[in-house]
Amino acid sequence: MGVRKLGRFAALCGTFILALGLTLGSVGAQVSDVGVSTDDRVKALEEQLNLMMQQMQAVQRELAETRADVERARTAARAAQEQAGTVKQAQDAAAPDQASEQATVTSGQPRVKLAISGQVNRAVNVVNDGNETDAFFVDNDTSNSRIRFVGTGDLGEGTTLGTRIEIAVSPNNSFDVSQDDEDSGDFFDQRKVEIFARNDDYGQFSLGKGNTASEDTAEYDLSLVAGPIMYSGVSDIVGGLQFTDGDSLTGITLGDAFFNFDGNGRKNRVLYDSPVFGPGVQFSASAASDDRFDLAATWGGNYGDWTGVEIGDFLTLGAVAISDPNVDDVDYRLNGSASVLHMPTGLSLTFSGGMDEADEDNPYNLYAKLGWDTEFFSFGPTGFGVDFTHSENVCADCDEGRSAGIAAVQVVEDWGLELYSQLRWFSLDTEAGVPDTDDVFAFTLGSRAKF
Amino acid sequence: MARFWIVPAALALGLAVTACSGVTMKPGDQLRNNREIRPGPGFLTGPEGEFVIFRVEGEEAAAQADPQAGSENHTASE
Repeated sequence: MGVRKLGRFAALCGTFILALGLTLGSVGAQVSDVGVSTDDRVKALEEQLNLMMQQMQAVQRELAETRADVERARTAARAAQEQAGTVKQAQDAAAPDQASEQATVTSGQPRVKLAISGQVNRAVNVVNDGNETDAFFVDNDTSNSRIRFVGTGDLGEGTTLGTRIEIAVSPNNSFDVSQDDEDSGDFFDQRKVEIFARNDDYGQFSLGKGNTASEDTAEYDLSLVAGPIMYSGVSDIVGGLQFTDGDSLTGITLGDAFFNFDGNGRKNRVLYDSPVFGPGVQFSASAASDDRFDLAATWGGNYGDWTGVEIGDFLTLGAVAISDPNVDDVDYRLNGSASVLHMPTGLSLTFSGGMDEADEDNPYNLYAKLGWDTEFFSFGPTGFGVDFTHSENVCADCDEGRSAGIAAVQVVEDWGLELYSQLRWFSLDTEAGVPDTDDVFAFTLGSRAKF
Repeated sequence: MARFWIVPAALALGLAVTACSGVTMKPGDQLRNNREIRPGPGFLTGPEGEFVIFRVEGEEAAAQADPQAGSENHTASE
């Protein structure tokens, strides 16, 4: 707009100069033209001069307007420049946060997530088996070292599609280490390799290797010590060690003699978990390889997360299951467990039981634990537990087995670290007293670190 | 076999009595299966307890693109 006005101003100036030249020429000619209508010519010249004065005033007004426009444009440009500077400063300030939020690797698919997590659980067992005392350096099979990859995608309308791969990397696994094999070597286990689809209204289907319906149903437990060391599977931490007769090994391992009759474990299977009914009722069924089947009902199980159900000041959790483990001489297996935590005090009670309906004497196991979770330190909770288990006929030569333990766990929350210790006693009576087994005392000191 | 079912039957009866007595029951809100990889912070992974390689582009992304829509949804859910 300013450029156009400047053009018009230049044109008017040119017209004015041309008119002035013509006027001066005309005046010269008129002066030489003596006596002919001089007054008329003077009058005509005056009119022309007035006209030119008006044109000059118009040009001056245009010039003033143009200058005003230019000034306004400069002001606007300065304001825009200042605003751009402010925006750039804000972007620069935000840039580090944005960089930290950006994933190193990104997916072409929207609404997906791949998460990696894992843990290392190492322990030292100092064991007296009646013959000698020795130390064993193990990976704790109660919750062994492992790494997990979980990919999930949101399909919308409450449906999630996921994959899970979980691999145990557990050298010197405590269920393998024995007095005659203190260095049992590498242990790799493909714990879970599965695909699952979950819908809030219809439940979850899982296909692949993973938990069967009856997995963990004898192990539901709300106490803190259950995580790394103390639960109904009392022999896990020393499962490979053998009873002795006070002189030599008997060939009966603690893992043989103590078993909680948990269900079908982790198998290649198809599993269906129903949606959660009411505050926490859920049903599950699975069919696994080698003709294994099972059914389970859980209370507060919530797809294996064990969130429990709050009843007043109490948190409750429980499960029962029936399974066909496809084991010789076993018709079916029953097991169940329940745990109650009084949330204000941290006191908990846990019970577990399991049995096989067998052709001869039915083997069974009963377990009870008193737990106490408290918070002595600001960096994490502390847990204590004392338990007792009684079993009969668990192995071929076994008659009656008893075990008692006392354990403590300290959590360092921010570091994902647990420090634990346990003292446990095992006693086994064999059929007809042969072999005559000595009691075993095992002291454990260990640490589980989530990375 | 018959003795085994006493325990779950007693538990079921106890729950039924509790439910009928009007005590409020509600789902717990903490993951407590600690024999799996423990929920919560990790030594290297920090507060989330896991390395996230692919980012979820869910409600956060939608909220960033249209903050007003996000606030409307939040209000509606309350």
